[in-house]
Amino acid sequence: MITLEELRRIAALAKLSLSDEEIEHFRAEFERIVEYVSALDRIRALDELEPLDSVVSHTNAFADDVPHQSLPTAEALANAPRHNESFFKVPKVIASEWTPDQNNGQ
Amino acid sequence: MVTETYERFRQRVHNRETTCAEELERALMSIEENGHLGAFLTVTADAARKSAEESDTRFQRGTPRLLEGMILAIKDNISTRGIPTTCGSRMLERFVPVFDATVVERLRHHGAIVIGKTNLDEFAMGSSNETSYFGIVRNPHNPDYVPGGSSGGSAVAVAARMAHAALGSDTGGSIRQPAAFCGIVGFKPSYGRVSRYGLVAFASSLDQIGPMARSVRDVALLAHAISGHDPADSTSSEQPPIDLHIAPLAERPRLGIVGEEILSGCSTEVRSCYEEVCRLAQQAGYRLVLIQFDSMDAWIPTYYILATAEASSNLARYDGVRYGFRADNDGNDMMTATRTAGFGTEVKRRIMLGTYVLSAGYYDAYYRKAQKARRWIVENYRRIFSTCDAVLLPTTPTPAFRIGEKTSNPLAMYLNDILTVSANLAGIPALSLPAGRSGNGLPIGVQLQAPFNADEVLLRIAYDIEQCLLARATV
Repeated sequence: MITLEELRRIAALAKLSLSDEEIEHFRAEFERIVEYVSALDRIRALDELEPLDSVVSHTNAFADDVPHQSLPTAEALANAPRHNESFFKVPKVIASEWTPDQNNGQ
Repeated sequence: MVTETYERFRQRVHNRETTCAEELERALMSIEENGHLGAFLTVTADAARKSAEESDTRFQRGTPRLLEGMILAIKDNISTRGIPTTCGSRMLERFVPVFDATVVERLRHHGAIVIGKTNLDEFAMGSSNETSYFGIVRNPHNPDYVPGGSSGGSAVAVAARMAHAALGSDTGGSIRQPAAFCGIVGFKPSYGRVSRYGLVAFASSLDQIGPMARSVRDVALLAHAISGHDPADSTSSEQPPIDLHIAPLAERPRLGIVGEEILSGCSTEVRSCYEEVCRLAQQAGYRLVLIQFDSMDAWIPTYYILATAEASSNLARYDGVRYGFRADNDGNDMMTATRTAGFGTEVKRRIMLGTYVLSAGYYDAYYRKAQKARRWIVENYRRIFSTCDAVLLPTTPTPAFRIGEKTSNPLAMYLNDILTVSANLAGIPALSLPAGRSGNGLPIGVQLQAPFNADEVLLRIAYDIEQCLLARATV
């Protein structure tokens, strides 16, 4: 049983805002899907196996440490919803005035 | 309409029966006439006309390149410099990449003409091409039916002869299933053989780019052109490019065929089409071996856990900061507002599922268990391929379904991928071949799968079976 609370927590983690109606709708679907994928619990053969991340056995691929032409700033910014000449612009996420209290525990 | 295959078109150019410029106009006309099918999101007519001119010059000079004049459509989740790449999502509605994907660069280098970008399920998440922000795609054989997904636009472009070939991407069947539903050939190469650089990531350990065309030889030609090592993709294989030449089979190989555990879940028409192909193969001299997929019950659960987990992580990059859509909401949590307005329902559902299976307390129960199941599936295939050279199975349990038929039941939609996801989980090459028609005229496909990196063997067998099927049609 997946609770509405749990779904709200998942939505917050995924940075999605869902209405109560959407959450309720998702819950019904979620339960059926989660119940279906739980079929893996009934497969005893899995108990002794090691997890597999990837079908290709690769080690880190290193690039040679030589300078090369990188993306010009204007191109890197071209698709940004907001920017100035050299930076992406984002809403302010820190308080406007710094007070010693805010630094507690840092 | 373009010529039936690129190979045939090239012969016609050599015989001076037509030119690339003329062929391109036929393609553009076909795109216009088939606008109601919704296959294209962007048509790059002007740039294509310029390329066609260059191709004609090359043919005249006697210096045509490998894919000279091939009219090619590209799924809109593959990066094209200066051409919008939307992934069928509001999130990337105005996104114009500043670089070409490696596959696009290689195709241009070989002389292919990019005619446009094709519609898809949003972020390639779907099996019916009904989740695109820019509208659904319809099946050219009957517009009331889905074309399959997620590479639905690419499949329709090829099936309705708006292009010689197309690129698709396949995470759980997104090339093979629409190829089957639209009656064309679709090939998912072994994982790593084709660079993913420039493919917008959905589930990185499963995603593969591959060709879609109207003959196995055209598919093989494209596979050769796009494969081979790419330093820009850290999972790229060191194997040489897929062999261009389909060598003849010295002797007919052992072909694994499936039994009740798979066929009982298929429609009568799919089943009888499959059995007919098995009979033809046997008559042609193939040795048929009945194989057993012990891991079948794990396929869909494993796929949906791993694919959604990887998707939830990959799609975290859409935050409204560096590119893509940003919600007009500077006061409160801009990122949440952006993601809520920018993603459609199916994408949200999968991000939610993926976040759930990765979250504290569930990781071992779902994600880790699915990784174990993935190893089991790989081992199951290894056992199977010790008794046969390739496996023949249906591509889908049914032919194309009606538009709207499965949209209210996500699980029923997911189960449509039952016969395709295992190849992605095991990383092996797989190809869908048109094999027949249903009573109401919808195409039915059969699928071939071969061991990891045996892409050439797969293409050889596919070509041979395609020829058997064509011979049957003319008897």
